[in-house]
Amino acid sequence: MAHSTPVPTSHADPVVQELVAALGENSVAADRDTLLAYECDGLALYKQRPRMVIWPNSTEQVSAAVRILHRFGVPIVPRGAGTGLSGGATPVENGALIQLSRMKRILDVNPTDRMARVEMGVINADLSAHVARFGLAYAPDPSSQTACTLGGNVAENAGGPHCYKYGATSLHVLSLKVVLSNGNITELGSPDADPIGYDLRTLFIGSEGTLGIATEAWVRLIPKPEIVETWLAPFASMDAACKAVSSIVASGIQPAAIEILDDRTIAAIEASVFAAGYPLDAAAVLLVEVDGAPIEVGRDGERIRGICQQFGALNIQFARDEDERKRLWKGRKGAFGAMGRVAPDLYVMDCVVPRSKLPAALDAIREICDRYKVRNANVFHAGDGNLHPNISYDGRDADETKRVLAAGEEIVKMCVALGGTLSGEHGIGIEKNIYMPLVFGAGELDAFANLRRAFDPDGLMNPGKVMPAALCGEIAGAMKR
Amino acid sequence: MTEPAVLPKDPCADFASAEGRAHFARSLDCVHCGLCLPVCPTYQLTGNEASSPRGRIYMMRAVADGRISAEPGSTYDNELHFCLVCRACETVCPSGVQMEALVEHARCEMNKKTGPPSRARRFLLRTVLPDRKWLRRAADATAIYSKTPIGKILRKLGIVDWLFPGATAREALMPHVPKREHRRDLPALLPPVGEKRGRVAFQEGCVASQLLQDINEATVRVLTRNGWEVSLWKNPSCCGALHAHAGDLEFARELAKKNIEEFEKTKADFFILNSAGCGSHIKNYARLLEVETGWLHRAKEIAAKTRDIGEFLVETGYKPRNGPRALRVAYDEPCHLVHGQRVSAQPKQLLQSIPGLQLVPLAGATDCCGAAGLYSLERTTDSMAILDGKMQQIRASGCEVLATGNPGCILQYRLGARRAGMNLQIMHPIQLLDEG
Ligand SMILES: Cc1cc2nc3c(=O)[nH]c(=O)nc-3n(C[C@H](O)[C@H](O)[C@H](O)COP(=O)(O)OP(=O)(O)OC[C@H]3O[C@@H](n4cnc5c(N)ncnc54)[C@H](O)[C@@H]3O)c2cc1C
Ligand code: SF4
Ligand code: SF4
Repeated sequence: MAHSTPVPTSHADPVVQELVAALGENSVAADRDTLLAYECDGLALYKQRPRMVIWPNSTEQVSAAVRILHRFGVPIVPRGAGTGLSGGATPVENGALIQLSRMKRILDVNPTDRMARVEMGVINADLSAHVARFGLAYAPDPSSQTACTLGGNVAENAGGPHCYKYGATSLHVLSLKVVLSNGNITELGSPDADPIGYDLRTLFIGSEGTLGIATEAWVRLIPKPEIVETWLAPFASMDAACKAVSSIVASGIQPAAIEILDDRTIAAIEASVFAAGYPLDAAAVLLVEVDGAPIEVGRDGERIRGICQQFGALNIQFARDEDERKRLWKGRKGAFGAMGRVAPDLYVMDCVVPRSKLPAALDAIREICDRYKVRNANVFHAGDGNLHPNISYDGRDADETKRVLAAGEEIVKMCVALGGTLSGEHGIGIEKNIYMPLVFGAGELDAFANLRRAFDPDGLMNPGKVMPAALCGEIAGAMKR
Repeated sequence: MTEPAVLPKDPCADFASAEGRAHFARSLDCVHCGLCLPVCPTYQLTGNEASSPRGRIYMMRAVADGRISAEPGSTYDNELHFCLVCRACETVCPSGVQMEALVEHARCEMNKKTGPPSRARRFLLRTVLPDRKWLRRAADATAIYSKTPIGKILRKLGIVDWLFPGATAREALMPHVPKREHRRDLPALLPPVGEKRGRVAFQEGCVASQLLQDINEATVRVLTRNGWEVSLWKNPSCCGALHAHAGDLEFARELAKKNIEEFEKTKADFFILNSAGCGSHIKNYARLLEVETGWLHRAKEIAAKTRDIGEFLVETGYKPRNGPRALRVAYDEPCHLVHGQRVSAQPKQLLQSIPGLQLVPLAGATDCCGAAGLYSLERTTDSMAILDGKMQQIRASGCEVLATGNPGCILQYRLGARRAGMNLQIMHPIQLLDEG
């Protein structure tokens, strides 16, 4: 690395010494302030300082580092950009962080076969920007796409507004190069054909850094749609907005994205740099996008407008050119950060209910948050019933923080009771591991634990994440026996 | 954001002190989302979150909360000074975090612990920059040093390094100093050509008055040609941006007040700057002086009248250039114009209005060049690492001329072109518009 910033390292730690010898002085840090800066990821509710941070610049370096850590029995937490919202990249006690921020090369683009080979530290939006010259794009578009890494996307099976039509990360990754917990390098899947035998690639996607560290992948690219139309429909009630969504889906139209924002989110957005001209007097706005061939898009767009009007939408806005579309999306994409204006900290939740239960779930969320006296706003991928309740709070206020956590717990339980599940796209991490028994029985949890052990017999990969700590304890106990 | 109503008088009250918390409250806007990481030039270099906006703010908060102490020489200290204050993070931050304000303040606080600055630094900041007489002497000395045998002798005797530690090692950075007749002061009042539309004030700038006076001449020519009477003052010759960035908030405030007084005397309708860094800083005078009784409204007024030259011409209308300029030009956006003042379209519009000129796209045009005020002198290795990356992008654009509107950036790119062995002209957009 060509920079003069010294990364002071605590050489007192023998593990650090070995890592420095293997990777170089600039690739490891264990000083007080650097460790502090890594205490948490996008979920600031939980904090833990790591023992060291490692920045490899190749698969071989990842493997070398993992071998050393494995030998010393040091737990390992992989990290991309740390935008994750379930604490997946939060360090574990005495553990190492391996961050792939220096592995950001796009190694190969094959426009004919529409695929690309990328390192896992590549930023999601950079890939789409890079392949745009071929008329191609990488489909999964999490709202954090300007910052999050493809490795983090793989680990969380990230989705985005447009995944309603195109599918989440798992449908767009052809093969993975992975470093296992003992340092061995292996390939999962193949860019050329569907895998024969067990599809370990799909198993790995969504494993939240518990099965190994992905370092490289072949990913699928899609041709950019011929035209795109975006509609913004304001509604006087949330119920009407949700009914419009159900009706659009029932009509057989396949929109590229269907998003809903509630009035409190609109208010926060309009007060921020992301102000997009959303109507402040609406109870909810629906953002629908259709893409494809001109005839199809024209016809679907008209039908969507008709349905929205039928449910009482007024002053529907329409965008076809790139600038206008960007403006309509700007608010949605910036909703999270705009909430930062409301209070010093923000807890972004992620849970799923059946689409028909959306209005009931939203009423319940508001009731719960009001009861705990915490400030809530909601934005969600309405097409797949994926809710993102946002709770603003001040982390320095212990009592408020406690109320936030309690409200969060009730919201999760309520969603499960409505027939939904724990997470749509942000993963389980440490945020929701204790809720796993709400949706899985003992037999299933046991199967998960066994599977995890097959990949990571010593329990070093992101321990305590995804599965409740108690269960992991049982695994450790079982191993001793 | 909930900001306490009463702000402290002390320009750098400790973050951890009761009154310093008012400044610190700005950091609470950060929700730790990480969206700022990829745009930060220092994070791009290291991939280390301690060198990212989010990491820096996190450490500041920890200092304020007493979780770590802010020791000189710590990683925290290093990261505070590694930051270029380019403000790219502010553009993408959805929560409106004010990084510049935070870093200035934190540096000010750190300065108190580090002790008094070096002789050379204090002399440069407090004596040379604000005074045209001293600026001229410094430019003369630099010219003599680099162009006559005297320099060699001083160097050999080690006097240079005694005065300015590490200076001889940085000689390659030394800009070309124009002959004396090319750095004469502009007259105090320049009449408009044709019918008078109004009066504007203009400041030649500290470094620019000695090294880039041709740009200042082009600027006032364009202004007068467009019917503006131009009024200038000599001292203070500096807006104080460099001082604020270096954490010398006390002196920055003094300069701000003096400039406000001078501006008020001109009775001008607008205050025009051709330097992005100065324009951005002057627009921020209100923040700098928010706690000084009797100054806030005056600071707000000057800020409201301040315009970058490109912003101003597009806003008020201008006579297009007649003669063609058949050039392939790339426009690089100065941080303190695009991120600091959110002025981006106007300079491009100016360039596009020039007959024959072809504006070619430039990848990374909104990224920092690494000049960042005194940064290129104080953190040369980092600055050059950033610059060399930019030069590759500039080469790839295939431009003949690189246009950019900030003196520091212009000098930095001239250095970059020398280092890369490129035959590239670096100009201010106003020079391309000017026909003089
Ligand atoms: C403003 C904002 C908006 C968001 N919007 C969305 C959205 O629309 N959709 C969505 O799905 N998510 C969203 N997220 C959540 C987050 O951005 C995604 O989960 C993203 O995939 C995380 O990527 P990352 O690089 O930041 O990973 P990190 O946060 O660093 O890590 C996430 C998890 O992945 C693991 N991991 C990281 N890299 C690797 C690797 N190379 N190999 C193995 N494991 C690894 C980590 O251990 C951790 O468990 C949003 C977050 C923010 C802050
Ligand atoms: S983008 Fe803004 S809110 Fe998000 S981490 Fe950076 S500074 Fe904080
Ligand atoms: S001002 Fe520039 S260098 Fe400093 S933290 Fe922000 S983006 Fe990074």
